[in-house]
Amino acid sequence: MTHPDETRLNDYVDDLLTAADAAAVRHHLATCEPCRRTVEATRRLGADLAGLPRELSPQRDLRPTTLPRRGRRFRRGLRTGVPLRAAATILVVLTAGALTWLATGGRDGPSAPAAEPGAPVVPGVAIQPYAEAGRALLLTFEERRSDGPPEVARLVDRNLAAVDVAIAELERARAAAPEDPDLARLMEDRYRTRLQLLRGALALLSEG
Amino acid sequence: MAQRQTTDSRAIEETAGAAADQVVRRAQAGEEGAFDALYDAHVGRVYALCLRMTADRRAAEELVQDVFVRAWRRLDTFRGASAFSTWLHRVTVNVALDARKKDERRPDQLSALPDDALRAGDRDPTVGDPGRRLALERAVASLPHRARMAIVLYAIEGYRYEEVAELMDVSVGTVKSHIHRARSLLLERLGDA
Repeated sequence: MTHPDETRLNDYVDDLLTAADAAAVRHHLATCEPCRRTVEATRRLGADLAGLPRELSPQRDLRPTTLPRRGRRFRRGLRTGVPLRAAATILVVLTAGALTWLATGGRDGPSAPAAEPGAPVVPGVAIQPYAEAGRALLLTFEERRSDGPPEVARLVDRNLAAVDVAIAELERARAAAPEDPDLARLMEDRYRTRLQLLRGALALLSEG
Repeated sequence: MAQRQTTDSRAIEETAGAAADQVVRRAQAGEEGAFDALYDAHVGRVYALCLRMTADRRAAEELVQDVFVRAWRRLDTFRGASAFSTWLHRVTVNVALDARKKDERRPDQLSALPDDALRAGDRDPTVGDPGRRLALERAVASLPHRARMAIVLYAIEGYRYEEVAELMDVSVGTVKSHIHRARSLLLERLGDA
């Protein structure tokens, strides 16, 4: 007696055989108990796997370290050499600068772009171009995020998310006070920080 | 009676779906409380998939964090063509597969999942016998990683062969090999062979 091989039996279980081939397997199963047991066990296994719970509860609350504003620890050190350590330092410095500036309410740290001499300074005028430039850089970063170690992408993700939370808060504040020049200036600075982070990230990815 | 129940069920689903859409829109508008709500609603499903794909509780927790950070970052790309849960599920699969690709040198480890890592978040798994369920989870966790990923995506998450092949970036033939191997090993380890 020639038994169907493992592939054929699995294809039979998965309904992938032609009608003629399936009929041939059924004919064999009618007289071969070992193969019939294998098919029955495979089907039972499939049913049991499909019946496993779709949700499982994490053993601890991941919320504080999952949502970006709370920050999190970084898993393991960087595995590669000097260029990435230097790069990580650059990102940390940029981020520390941005976060210090956020913590001080924007009183220290990056300032708005210098205006032309004699030209009136209009707070908020750079928001739109910064935001658009940021969107373009973000798309580029997303395309290239796998070019470097995952630690770099994670570091960028988390720090960008912290800046984005701050931007969202400012947008809500500006919705209530759209003419407030201080809010406009803060918003510009946040978008500029975001640009700096993305430019730094892309520079790191370019170094390879 | 049956028709009214069907109508009621549909109304409930539509209401739940509309409410879920509203939460997503609020999250897209930057409302943190809304994103918290999305997290609460979906973390169980995300964690289950991450845990089964990695067979490592700490790695799964890391991936859950990565999934929600990536979802937060890309929320404005969700257009509502599918359910949010479907979109988030695809993000989770991609995050898990990307992490594994970057970590190919990590040797497969036999499952060290403690029993309480497998607490069900939903109320009615259809595998009624808790002992069988635990044995099954442990057996899946003990599989070689490619076979495990393939069988999780196919047999537990319900993707078709072609979809698993696309997700894992391999041929359908390769997916079938992984699944056949997984089945054979599972049957042997469960004593069902």
